[in-house]
Amino acid sequence: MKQICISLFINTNNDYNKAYIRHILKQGNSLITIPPSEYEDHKLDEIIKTSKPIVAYFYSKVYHTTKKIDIKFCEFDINLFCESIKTIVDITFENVKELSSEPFDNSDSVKIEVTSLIENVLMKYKYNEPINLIYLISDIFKSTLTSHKLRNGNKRMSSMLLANILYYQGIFLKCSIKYKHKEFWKMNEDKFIEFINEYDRICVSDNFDEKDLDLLLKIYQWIYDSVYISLNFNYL
Amino acid sequence: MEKMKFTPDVLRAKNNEFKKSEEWKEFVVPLIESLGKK
Repeated sequence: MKQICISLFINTNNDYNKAYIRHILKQGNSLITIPPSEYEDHKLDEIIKTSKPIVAYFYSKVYHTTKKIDIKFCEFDINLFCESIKTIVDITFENVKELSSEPFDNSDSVKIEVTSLIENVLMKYKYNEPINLIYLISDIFKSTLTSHKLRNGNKRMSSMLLANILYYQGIFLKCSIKYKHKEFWKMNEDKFIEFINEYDRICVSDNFDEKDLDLLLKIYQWIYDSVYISLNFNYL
Repeated sequence: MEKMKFTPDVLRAKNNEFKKSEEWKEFVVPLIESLGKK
């Protein structure tokens, strides 16, 4: 039986998060759908309070299949995440270097700057529970994209970092089911490139501050629409 | 409730898994290559 780790919530005793988990289980979203007939509301407290996985019928929008699987909610600890960010940045730089032969700033000083930039973003959320993890990741992506710590390869590094951080939460950055055919995959890729180039322009314009929140929300929406939780992901 | 484990070893192992996945080959690699050309 496969297990999925969904870790979008830091404080699961909070009513806001409870409502959010209920929404995911009952209503479904771009990531996951459980047919309403299979949803058992009384199990919600059990899911939240214990670490025991629950069994549910799961409909994957990606694979068009109904499978019986375990769903396990796992607490996201921002302090642990903060401690790991240096390694994540190192891995991200290695990945970009492997994938692209184009010029790329990968000096140690740049890595330190990117790491401390992300740590600063995380500090904003440390005492600000509850945390919506996708929102936090959007903020990290926005910060690395718009701060331009790298002269060459900033967009590549920011995008790779986004894919990596999402993956560590059990989420693939990939086209959702509506882009399952090849021509639509290409469209989504073009959309992403257009999207980050647009922000590249915004961040150097004079009125960037005014657009800051708007930008963050757009990034959030784009990520939310463009990821899914992998059925094959076994985190624990 | 269990907490996520983010030790360097886990992260590197996960990254190696990611690199073997279809998603890596079909989406991440073309994306980074495209961005490098612009």
